[in-house]
Amino acid sequence: MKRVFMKGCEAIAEAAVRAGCRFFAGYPITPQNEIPEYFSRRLPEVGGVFIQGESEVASISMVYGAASAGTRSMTSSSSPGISLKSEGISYCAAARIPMVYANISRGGPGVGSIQPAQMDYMQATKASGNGGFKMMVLAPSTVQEAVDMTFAAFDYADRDRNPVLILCDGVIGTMMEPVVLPEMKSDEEVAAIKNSKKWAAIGHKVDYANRGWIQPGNWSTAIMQQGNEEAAVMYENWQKNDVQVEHYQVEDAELVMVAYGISARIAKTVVDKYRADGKKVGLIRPITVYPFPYKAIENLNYNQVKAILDVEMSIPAQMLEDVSLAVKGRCPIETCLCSGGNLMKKEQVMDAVAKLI
Amino acid sequence: MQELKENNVLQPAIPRSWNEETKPHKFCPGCGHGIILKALGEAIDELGIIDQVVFGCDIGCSLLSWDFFACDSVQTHHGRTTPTITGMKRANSDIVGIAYMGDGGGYAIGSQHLFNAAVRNERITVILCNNCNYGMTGGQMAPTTLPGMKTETSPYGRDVNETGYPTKGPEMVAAVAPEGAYVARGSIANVRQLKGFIKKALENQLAGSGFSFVECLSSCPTNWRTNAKQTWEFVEKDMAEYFKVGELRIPQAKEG
Repeated sequence: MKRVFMKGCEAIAEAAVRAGCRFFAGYPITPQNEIPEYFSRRLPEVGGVFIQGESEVASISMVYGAASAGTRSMTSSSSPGISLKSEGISYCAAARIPMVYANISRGGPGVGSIQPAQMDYMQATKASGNGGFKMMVLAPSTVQEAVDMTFAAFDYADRDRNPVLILCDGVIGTMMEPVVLPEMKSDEEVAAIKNSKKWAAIGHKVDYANRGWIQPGNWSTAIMQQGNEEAAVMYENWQKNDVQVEHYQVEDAELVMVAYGISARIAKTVVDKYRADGKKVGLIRPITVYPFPYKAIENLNYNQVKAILDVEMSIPAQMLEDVSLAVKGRCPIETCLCSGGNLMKKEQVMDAVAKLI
Repeated sequence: MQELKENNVLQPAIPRSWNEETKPHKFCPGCGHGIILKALGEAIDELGIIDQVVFGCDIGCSLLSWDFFACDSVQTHHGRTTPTITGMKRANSDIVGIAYMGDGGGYAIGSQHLFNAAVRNERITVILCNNCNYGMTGGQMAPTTLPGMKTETSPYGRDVNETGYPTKGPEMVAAVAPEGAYVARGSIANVRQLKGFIKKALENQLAGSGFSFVECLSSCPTNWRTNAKQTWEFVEKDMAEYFKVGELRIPQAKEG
C-alpha cells in the first residue's frame, strides 16, 4: 500500500474527490482553508466544479442545488461558518438531498478561537438546524480515519438521501500524517452514481407526475408528518446498524474513559501509561458521535467499573449528557475538560485518572 | 387558430409547460404572478426548452409557483434561489436554470446572491416579481416600497430619511454584470413586451453568453387594498414612474 504524507484538510478533500465528489462550494474561514484551496486545484483536473461562494449561506445553497442535480457535492467550514450553513443543511435534510460537509471546529461560541476544540458537539449531534432532523456524524481521531470516513460519508449520504457531517477538530484538520488513500472512482462509476438518482432535478420531458421535484417541506400536514415519520425510522435504523465505536482495553477496566476525536487519541496514550503500571484503565471511543454508541457504555459491567471519565475539549462538557444517558446513574461520572482552543494535555488526563483509581 | 369550446367560449390558451392539474392557480385575484408566469410559460414553449428547464422558486408568494409548471422544480430558502440554481447549473451545464423570486428575496435577504451571481456572470436566468411589498406575510414594507407608501410596517408611509429609496434592481445588476449579461425591466401592463424580455433572457442563457435578469412590475391588490382601477393605475403610472421599463443591458451580437 502506497502511503502519502498529507495534511488532514487536504486529505479530506482528496478522499472526497476519490469518492466521486465533483462539486464543492465554500467560503474562507480558518482553520479549514486548505479544504477549499485543495478542491480549487483538484476539481478542474477531474471535470468537477469549484465555486468560492459569496458567503457560507451562498455556498451551502449552491451545494443544495448541485446535489439536487444528482452530483456528489461537498462543503466545509468552521464553527461560526457552520452556523451560517445551518439553514441550508436543514433544507438538504428536509428535501432528503445527499451531501457531505466537514466542520473543522473552533474553541467557543461566537467567533471563538481558531485553535482546536470540540465545542460543537451538541450542534452537530442534536440540532444542526431547525426542524429536529438528524445526520450521521463521523468523528475522526486520525488523518487516516478522516480519509476513510470522508470516502464512506458519500455512500452513507446517497444511501439515506441525507446530509453527513465529518466533525473534526483543528488538530486532525491541520496535522500532517501518513495516509493510505482509497482508490479513485472511475469516471464511469461517478456517472453511474449520478445517473442512478432518478429523483434529481436535471430537466425532464413535460411530465408532471414524474418530474424531479425537490421539496424541503410540504403544506399538507399529513404528508409533512409522513416525511418526518420516515426520517425518524431512518434515524432509529442508524442506531441499530451504523454505530461505530472502538473499545480499547475495556474488558477488565475499572475506570473507563469516554472520548472522541483528538481527545480519544490523547486518552489512549494515558491508557497505555497506566496499563504499563498494571492499572485497569480503558477507553470507549465513539467513532460515530451520531448515532451515539449508547449500548457500548450501557452494557459495561458496573460491578467492575468503578467510575467513568468523560474527556472532551469542551467547557461546559457536552458529550457528557449522552454518556450520562447510557450510564444511567450506575457509577460516578467525572470529567476532564479543556476549552477555548487549548489542546488537552496528557498530564491533565493522567491526573484526572489518578484521582479515580 | 383556437378552438371554440362549449357554449362558444374561447378558452384562453394554456402554455404547454404549465401543469394543468394545479390550475386555476393559488395566487390572489388580481395578482400579477400569474401573468408573469404565463409570459414565462409561453416563452419556454416557444423556445421548446421544457425538457431542459429546472425552475427554482423562492419563499414568499413566489413559492406558490412550486407546482405551477410541469417541469423539474426546486424549492429553496428565502433569498437562496439564485445560489441554488447557480449550483444546479454549474453541476449540469445543459439545463436551463430559472430562479423565480420576489423583491424581498432578490433585493433584501438575497441581495448578496443577486449581486455576486451577476458579477460572476452566472449562466442562469433570474426573474423577479416587484410588487412593492412582502405579499405572503401580509403586506410589509419591501426594498421596493415607493416613497410615502403605506404598508403594515410603514404605517405612516415609507420615510426615505429612515429607510432609503426603493431599490432599483436592474440598474444595480446592469452596473456590475460583465459583458454578455442581459438586463431588463418589464411590466404586467405590457405582457407582449414582458414575454419578449423573458424570452431574450432565456435565449441569453441558452447562448451561454452570461447572466440574465428580468424584473417584472407586478400588482398586489390584496395588500395594496386597491380596486381594479386603482391597482392598474398604480402599476402603470406610479410604479413605472419610479421603475423605468425597458432593456438596460443587451449583449453585443457575436460576429459571424
